[in-house]
Amino acid sequence: MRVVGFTLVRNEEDVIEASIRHNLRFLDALTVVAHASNKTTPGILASLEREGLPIEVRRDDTLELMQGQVTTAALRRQFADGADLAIPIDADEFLRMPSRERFEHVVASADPSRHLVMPWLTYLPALEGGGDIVERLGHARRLEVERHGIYKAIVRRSLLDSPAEEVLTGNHCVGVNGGQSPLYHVALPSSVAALAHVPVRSVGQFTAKVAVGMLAIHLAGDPNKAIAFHWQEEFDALLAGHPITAERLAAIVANYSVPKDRRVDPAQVRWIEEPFIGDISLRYTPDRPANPLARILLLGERVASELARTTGGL
Amino acid sequence: MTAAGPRSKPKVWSVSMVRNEADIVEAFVRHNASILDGMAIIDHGSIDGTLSILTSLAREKLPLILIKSTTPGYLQEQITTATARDVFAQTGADFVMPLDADEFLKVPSRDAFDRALQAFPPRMNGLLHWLTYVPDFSKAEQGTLALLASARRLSPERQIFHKALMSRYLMEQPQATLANGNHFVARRLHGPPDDAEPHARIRDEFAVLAHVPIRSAAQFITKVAVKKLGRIAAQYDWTPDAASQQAYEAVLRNQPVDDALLLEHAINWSVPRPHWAKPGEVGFADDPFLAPMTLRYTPPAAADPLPLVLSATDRMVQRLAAARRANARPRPPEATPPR
Repeated sequence: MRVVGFTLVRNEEDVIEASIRHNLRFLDALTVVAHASNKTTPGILASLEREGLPIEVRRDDTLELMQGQVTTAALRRQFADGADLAIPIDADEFLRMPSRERFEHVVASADPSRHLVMPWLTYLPALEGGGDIVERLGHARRLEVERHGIYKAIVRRSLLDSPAEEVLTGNHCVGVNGGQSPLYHVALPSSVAALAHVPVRSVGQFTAKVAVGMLAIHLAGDPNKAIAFHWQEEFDALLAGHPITAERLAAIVANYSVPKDRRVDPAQVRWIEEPFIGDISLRYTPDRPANPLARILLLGERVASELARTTGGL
Repeated sequence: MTAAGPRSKPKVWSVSMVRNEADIVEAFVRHNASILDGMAIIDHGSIDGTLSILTSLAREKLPLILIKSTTPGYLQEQITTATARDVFAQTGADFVMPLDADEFLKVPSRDAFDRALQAFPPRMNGLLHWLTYVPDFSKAEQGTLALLASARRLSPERQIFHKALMSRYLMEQPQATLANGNHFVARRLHGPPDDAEPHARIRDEFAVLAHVPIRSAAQFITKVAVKKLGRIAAQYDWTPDAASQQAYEAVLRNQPVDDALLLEHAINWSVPRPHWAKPGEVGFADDPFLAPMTLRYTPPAAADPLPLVLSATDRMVQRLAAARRANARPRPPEATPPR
């Protein structure tokens, strides 16, 4: 069984090398699309490619984040090239797969007409102290109880034969008609496969993620509430002059992707020591902190240029 | 008055377009309102409390006309010129000067200024010398007044620009428009300087404009970042050697903005990079400009740049999304000619 991954990344230089090196321990190949990224992330990807890792790197310089469309097209291409399973993985997601053999066995035993999903587990890395991201992820703790109720998709080759099917934005499932018509998926237990999700790694990284992410969503006019709702509140707070602080990061992660009516007091959640990161070493990841203002401005420059072309500068 | 110049005491207004100038707008208004007959101020989408400060000042019965503009884009020349025409028409002003929020009219007395204006040649617009003032940035913690009071004039001046003074002659020139930066009155929108009509220069002993472009790290970062995006959107980007472009690249590099960097950029403001000087190579004159005043509404420090830059970017994003939607909208079918 050929199992491949697909990662759509935008300016996540603090984590992309760790993510790729880790996930390739479980995958046969990985396609990475650098979407509207600055120079650093493509530079890291090129270095990894030159090392001979089984990755294919592409660029997507469109302004909007059309995640579902880009991912679906990429997966169709991977299946056309011979893949049996494709797993969309964000740059801040790390596969947890105790045994590739057992994974293949469970997948082969499941209903072949259905795509699969696996648990999406929220992790909080060490936010204080030194060390690179691998060292900090080595101390990452998992939320004991997930309340978001969200899984991540594992897509079968049958996507190739079903033109109406698409991977929906967020990569949580495969759907038809933009998700209007539900498709049932086979849910794998976390003992077989799961995705460890590390959405928050530092104040600068998360500020940039929220700011640039929401701007891209506004630009796309994407009604994808799944992504938008947990960023919009932080985005509004940033606009109102309330910066994201280190003290708030743990509280943000405790309720990440959780609808308001299911949120709990962050002080009451329990975290479990359950490391996931593989034995990897980083060679290209910069040690400088993210600069959210520069990230916003780089996107702003592109938006302003497009605006000038669209309006004639008026 | 007619385009031939005022015979009696001239009436002088200003027109300004401001956005996110909370650190300085109160000082700007109190100072210039102490000299001028009135000020028309367009708030162009401030989110940092500027409009609230202006509203409070207007409630004090200062001679202000406040205009809240939601016009998208960076149409400073067009909006400022159109507002100046309105001011001429509605207030009977003899002169209207475009003022940025960091510009302070400096006159020995209103009488002396009036004498210069009464002698103003007919059928001409004017120019005021634009003089750069550099504050002692270590005074920023003591507040805006201490900072502005510490500012010294660059001597000799290192840039060559003037600022326009519009006379009622503007009303005879329907196509005339302030040039970018309000440095002169062009014959038409985006008209080049070498095509402009001659301007009458007010001598420095009667009036100059004191310009304090850099006041703190936060204000400096916001200024260059937001201006850069606006310039790109207006297809009027800075040249690579422009001082502002150098400042913008420093912001992108996350270069620490300390007092030394502020001083370097302040003494070279509007000077092309190849001609930049080091702090030890320039001279300063003690030539204070600020009218006596007390500030009531000004915050203790300039606002954090990130929310202001994010807001400016989001406005562009919303505008681009709207423009794309408009372009994508199907056009109504053309009418079929009757057979």
